[in-house]
Amino acid sequence: MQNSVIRDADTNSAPHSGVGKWSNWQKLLFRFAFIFYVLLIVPLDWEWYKNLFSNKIIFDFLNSLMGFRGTVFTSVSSESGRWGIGSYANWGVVFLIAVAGALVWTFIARKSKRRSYNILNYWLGVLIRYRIAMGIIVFGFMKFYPVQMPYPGLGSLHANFGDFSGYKLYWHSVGIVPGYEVFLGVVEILAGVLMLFRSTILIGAVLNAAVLYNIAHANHAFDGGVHVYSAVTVVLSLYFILQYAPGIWKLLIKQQDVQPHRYFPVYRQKWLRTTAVVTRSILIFLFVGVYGYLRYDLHYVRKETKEPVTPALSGSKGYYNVSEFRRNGEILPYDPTDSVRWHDVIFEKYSTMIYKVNKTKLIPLSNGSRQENDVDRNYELSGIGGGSRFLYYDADTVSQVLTFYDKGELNTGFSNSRGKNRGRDYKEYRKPDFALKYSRPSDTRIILEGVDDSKDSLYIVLDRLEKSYPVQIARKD
Amino acid sequence: MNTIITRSGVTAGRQAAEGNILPSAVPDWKPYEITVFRFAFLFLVILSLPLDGNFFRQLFFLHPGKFQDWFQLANYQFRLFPAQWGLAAYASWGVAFVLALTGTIIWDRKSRHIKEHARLYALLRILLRYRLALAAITYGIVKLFPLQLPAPALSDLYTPYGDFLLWKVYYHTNGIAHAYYQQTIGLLEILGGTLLLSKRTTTPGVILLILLLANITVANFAYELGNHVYSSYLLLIALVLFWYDLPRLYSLVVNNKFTRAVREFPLFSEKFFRVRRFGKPVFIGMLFLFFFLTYYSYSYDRWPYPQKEGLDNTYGYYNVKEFSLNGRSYPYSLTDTVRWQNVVFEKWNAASIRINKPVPIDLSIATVEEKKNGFRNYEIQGNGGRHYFDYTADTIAHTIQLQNKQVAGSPVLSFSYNRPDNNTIILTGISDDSRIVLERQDKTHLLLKGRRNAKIKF
Repeated sequence: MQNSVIRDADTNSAPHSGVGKWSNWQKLLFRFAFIFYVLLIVPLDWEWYKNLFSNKIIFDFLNSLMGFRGTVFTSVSSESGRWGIGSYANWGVVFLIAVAGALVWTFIARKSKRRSYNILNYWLGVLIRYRIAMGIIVFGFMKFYPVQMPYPGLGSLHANFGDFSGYKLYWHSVGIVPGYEVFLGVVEILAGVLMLFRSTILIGAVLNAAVLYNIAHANHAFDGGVHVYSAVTVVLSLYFILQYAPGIWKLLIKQQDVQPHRYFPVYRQKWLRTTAVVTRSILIFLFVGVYGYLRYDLHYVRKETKEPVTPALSGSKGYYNVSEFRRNGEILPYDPTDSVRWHDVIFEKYSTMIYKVNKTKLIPLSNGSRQENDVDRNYELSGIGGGSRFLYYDADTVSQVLTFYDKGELNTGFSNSRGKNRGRDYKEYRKPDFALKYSRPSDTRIILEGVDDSKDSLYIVLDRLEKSYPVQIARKD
Repeated sequence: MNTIITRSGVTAGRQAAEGNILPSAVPDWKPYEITVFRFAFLFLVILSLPLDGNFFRQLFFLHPGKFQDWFQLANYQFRLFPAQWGLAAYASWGVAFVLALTGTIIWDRKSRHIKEHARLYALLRILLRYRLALAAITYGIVKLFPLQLPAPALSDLYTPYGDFLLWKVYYHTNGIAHAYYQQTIGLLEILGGTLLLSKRTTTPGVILLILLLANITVANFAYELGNHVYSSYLLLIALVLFWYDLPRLYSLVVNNKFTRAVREFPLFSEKFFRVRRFGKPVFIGMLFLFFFLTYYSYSYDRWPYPQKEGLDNTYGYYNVKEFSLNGRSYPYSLTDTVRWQNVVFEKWNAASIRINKPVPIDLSIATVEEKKNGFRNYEIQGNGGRHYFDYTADTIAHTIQLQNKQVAGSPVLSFSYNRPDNNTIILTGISDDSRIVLERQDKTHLLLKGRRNAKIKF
């Protein structure tokens, strides 16, 4: 009891002073951690900085800045190197460099009279905290709006479960519950903001570690592809969790009183205090306020999303039976094994038409990131098999012609750079694949006529089927 | 209860030395704190103890060899009303609230002896710790052997995405996860539950479980999984357990201040410890029993899918090449409400058929349960895209009887079958002249191929 009273007094005299004298082991460990984390975080690649400052719009600049990643020293080109344990090889190299660096540093500093690394440790913490915050806030806003995983289109609702690649099912499972996606976004933004305040560092670190562990493991589970970038945040969060753990262990497990010795700079001069507060406020405003607004502007005003936005031919949205199909004058009856005759047709709410045949083709397995032009937006088809052909169309409602652009792998391969295409009309770099005249004798019937890209002349009668989707039904008593 | 931080340890120590065995965790309870505690105590005890008939009915009919029966007992819920959805499902909580409030009013006229409340608080924490541990560990075990969220059946791979209920999409998505995802979540639940079994490690365990349960509860609402009341109950007791150490953690972690540890003082007699010495190993022993039962079932049974084997070499997806009924032949059609479009034969004695007519969807909630009549409905739950049939086949007479699984009491379809080659099944009506030719399709699924091979044609 005596002991704790003395320590009590100790607290009042020197708050936030840190541990006065570090042991040699602590110093060695810190040197390792310093090199390890700096290499994981700071881009040493000159190209990165060049690219950063060549961004033409402020959103791109901020987005690149907030998504910065450390240097890639090595990568393994095997399957494991992309999807499995091998993809963490870079961490192994960073680890070895850090071990070697720490030993050299210790050797050089062997005569040094330095008692502690309190100040450097604090600033390393600042670097890690801002790195975590910026990275997670980016993803938080994508979910908050929610555009990271759009609601599955009709094409997906009509695709068989087994015709999806696993990663697409994972994303759809989030996209199909927008409220949940927004919730996850709020949690991620909150987790980021908590990293920016001294008093909430541990809460933020625990939240980040939990959320990002789940995301990293899910990325392994479904081949989502961003496991390393997610897992790195767990490693960054561990830096704080490990520093707080001994105190918590002592307090709860050993049930002993604890005097925390965490170093925080205490500025005696008023102008320094003001500068610190203002700097932090500006950064938070930039990362949350400005970035949040710019994301809003990007998705809702400029409408740059993964999902196409050009409205469909008015009133065409729905699932259609192919009631009649003539190819070069000959009537082909429906046959689910046929590779030429269309089985069914979907008009999305945006200008995409999908028809299905029994024919294999190359499946785009990209993530389907946001693009400038609808014709390049392939989120709706990436990772989905089953013989569906996804076509972007231009509707000329005066001469009643639909001009089709195939959105499939072979056709979008050359136009997947959103930076290159920004502000460009897609007609400058895409040629239409074919065009069909349409007529609409009734609200539920569309007749297509013309020559397709196989030079076959087609006459197709489509009738919309009334369809409700169980996935949109609420279970009630 | 924030007082514990500011209160001097010296005083508490002196009191202890003087034989006044007040625990420092509950030093001076203000009158309102005692009232709030009494309400919380009653409310949580009503929700946690098996006080209605359901539990004892389940106990009476327990099949000791079935992990599902033990699971149901372990995850017993206080439920008085049949409502399952939305806020109405919390009606039983409302009753517990009123009962607890009434009890508090009566109780408040009685003594306010602090030591008595300290003891009750300690007992409540024990009850809640074991209650939460039981739920976390049993749920963890059914994830460790992935039984709670099983892999989808072949029929599901031929069901359009939009034809599942939302919860089934969630289950199937988790069911296809690789990299031991579900198993690891299960392990974390087991870890969290295990930490609750010791008083000192309770708070770390509770923090882990709060993180898991918060997500589970929100997911229950988002996907209509049907366990939102139970998961929010578990989250509630996790938060109540967290409350105990919260002031200390807040002081140490948020305020960065000198923080006193809790000081334990004896609250219970020797008799209590004798009960604990006996009870704890029994509790842990039961969990091991549950573990092995679950493992056994996982190894030998196909639960939640039917156990009975299907016809030899029929597993697969079939195109319905010919379909004639009462002499009338039906061509391929997406819109015809009679013609079969395709058929899946499962590994077990079930076949599912795609027909363009509304599927009576089984809207029930997926539970870890074995029904008393042995009927396993997981495959039909939440699937609105296919018509499901159980079948019995006579392999000598080559006849097959199909019984619809989704509509009880629907007429049995009887066919004789013959198999001219490995991939063809011809069904011929026994009482009418229907003829159905099924042709097995050789198909690989993108789902099984993943995305690792950059050039996949499908």
